[in-house]
Amino acid sequence: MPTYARRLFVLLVILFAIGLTVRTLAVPKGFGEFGHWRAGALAEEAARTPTLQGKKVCAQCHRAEFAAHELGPHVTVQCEDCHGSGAKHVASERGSGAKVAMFRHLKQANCLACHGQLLARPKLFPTIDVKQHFAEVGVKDPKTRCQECHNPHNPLFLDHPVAEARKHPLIHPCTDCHFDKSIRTRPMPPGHVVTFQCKDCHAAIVADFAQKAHASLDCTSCHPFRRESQFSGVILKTGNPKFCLMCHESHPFKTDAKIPLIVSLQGHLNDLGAPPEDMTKRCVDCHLQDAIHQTQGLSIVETPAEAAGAKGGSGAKP
Amino acid sequence: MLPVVPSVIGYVFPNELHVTWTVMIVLYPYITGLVAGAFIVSSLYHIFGRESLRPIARFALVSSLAFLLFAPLPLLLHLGRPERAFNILITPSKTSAMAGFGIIYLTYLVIVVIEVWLTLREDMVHLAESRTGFARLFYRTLTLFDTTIDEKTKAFDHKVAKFLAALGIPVACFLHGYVGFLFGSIKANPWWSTPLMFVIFLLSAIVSGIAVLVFLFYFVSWLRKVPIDRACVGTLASFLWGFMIVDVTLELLEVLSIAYQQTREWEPLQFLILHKLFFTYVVVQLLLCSLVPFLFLAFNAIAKPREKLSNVLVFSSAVLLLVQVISMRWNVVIGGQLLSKSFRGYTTYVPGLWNKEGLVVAAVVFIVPFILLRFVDGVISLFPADTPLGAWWARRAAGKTPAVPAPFGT
Repeated sequence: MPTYARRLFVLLVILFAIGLTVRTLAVPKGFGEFGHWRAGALAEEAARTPTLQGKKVCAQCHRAEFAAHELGPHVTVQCEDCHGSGAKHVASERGSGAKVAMFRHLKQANCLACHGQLLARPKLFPTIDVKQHFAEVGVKDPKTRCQECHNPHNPLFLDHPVAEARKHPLIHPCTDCHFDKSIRTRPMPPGHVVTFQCKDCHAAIVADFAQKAHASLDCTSCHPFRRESQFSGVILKTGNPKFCLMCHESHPFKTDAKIPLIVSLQGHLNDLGAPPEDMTKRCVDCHLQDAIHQTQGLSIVETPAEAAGAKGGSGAKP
Repeated sequence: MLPVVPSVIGYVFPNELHVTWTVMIVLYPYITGLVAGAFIVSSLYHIFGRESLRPIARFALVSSLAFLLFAPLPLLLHLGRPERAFNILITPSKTSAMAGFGIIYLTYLVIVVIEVWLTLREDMVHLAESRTGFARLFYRTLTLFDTTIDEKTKAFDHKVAKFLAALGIPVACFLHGYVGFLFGSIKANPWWSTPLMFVIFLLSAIVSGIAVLVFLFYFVSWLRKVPIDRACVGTLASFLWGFMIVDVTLELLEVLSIAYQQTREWEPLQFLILHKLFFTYVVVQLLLCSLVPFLFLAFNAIAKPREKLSNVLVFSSAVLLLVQVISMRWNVVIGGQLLSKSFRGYTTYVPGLWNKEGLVVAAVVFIVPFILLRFVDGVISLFPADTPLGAWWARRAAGKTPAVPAPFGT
């Protein structure tokens, strides 16, 4: 074998040895002991101190916020999802050292991490396109923070816990599948898959609602549907004036060209000269019939058999 | 709302809206194909004794190495944490197809590097002896400080290089067949999942490898104003014609078999071909870049046109076939991701321009092996001295035509 070939061979052997050495050094200790992973990772993970505390720890001090949080649709969201991990804050509050504050002032981006409109998100989950949402509710300052109108602890100002909300079959508004909102006003084409919509049971209310000032909204804008299973969910309803004031309360960042605004409910009642017994009235007590929809008219669609029975008289209930 | 909305047709699962494997993953099998194809051309001379390919055999081998060195680059650019890619070499999993690729890649790299070294050794020795100073040290280092050249060493080099070339053919086939395997074994994707994918990738690799060599041979000859070696180009054109026929036939047969079987996949695939991929597949891949070069090369082989026309036909066929193969890669890689697993919807992919996996970066990645080739050509001649291009290099090295500066002086 020529000299250069021997040298090449030695060079290759050296490179191979370097490769083997690097591999030996680079393979983590314990790798492959139980599987294609590092055995020591288990103990390391187990030894880590948890930084998340859980909402029950927060509730020990922040009772009012916790109570509001337990009513709202954020009930399944842990406090630390928005406020950051609480280990240092809790330790500092329990100890005597310097206080460590939690993350409090949410920016738009914090809320939009969950509520920003993405195709991949379920359509029944409340998501917005900020520009579009602000245009709809008359907000003129694009940097307005979400919590100027929404209380993050109870964003819909529910009076009763979500768990106690009325069960409701799964509904499919047109915008569940169609992106263009104008689809709602178009007739359903022949052969379209049958979907269960609000008007199927609440025809009279839906028809009346279409004539009222709020007609540009979806039913679910005020009665959000919260999906709980493949077949059903709950309808969230609130008569709390704060819910209406999210849109109708005057703020510097809002324009009154779009939506009628009031400075406050109390001021509004004073302006109207309401008698003392009416000072506790809610918005819906006066405006439901004229501006939203009628209160009567829950109509259940008859099945063909029932309809035939009603016409023919046979099989009719006594 | 994301801008992708208008381009979605039907029902697409949320995780399919975004096309994850981008233009970088298109480039990866393309560059790997050039590696395998160029190596096969060099083997046609070294192993199968195609004497007419001698002027380009060494260039083909070095081209193969240049493309090989940059073949994983698009993959690394695609990864969010590219440094983790080395884990497939450090702790390869038996069930990972990509880990298998790492081993095949390394094996092939060693074979090609040694074969290139042995093939260029004689020239390195001559250069080491004719230079002074740093250039001499550089070339002596390349020879591993042994400048012996005699009949024995020549015979030894030839014997070992031939052995490595013979060993390299199956490894090269594995290397690129394996890239086809990566796609062909994804059984959930009807556009990819076919055992023919291995063969199609391999044949298209050979087509692209020959085509890039034809292109470079013409380009370098034109740049250096030396006459074209007609025998070499004629042989390359014949092989290009033959391999492209088999390649395109298999590509068509694959689609035809699904169409004839009328399996449930055919309906969505038909829409994919006729709408989403109509331009890139039907117009570019099949009509413009398969049919046209087939006719050009057939005319060139059968009618034996005049030299000037023949050059135009062969060169344009090579360029069109290079586009054919990259459009085939595009149609496979991107096309397979446009169709939803629901079989009821399609998404759209538009590559970015300046982003990490955009077209500009892809163009740079594709050009880098050519720059390396140019650099190597500045150090050592990639063409035999008794060919017009080799003679040009010798003249330049002697300082007679210093049109292109050599990196280490002359």
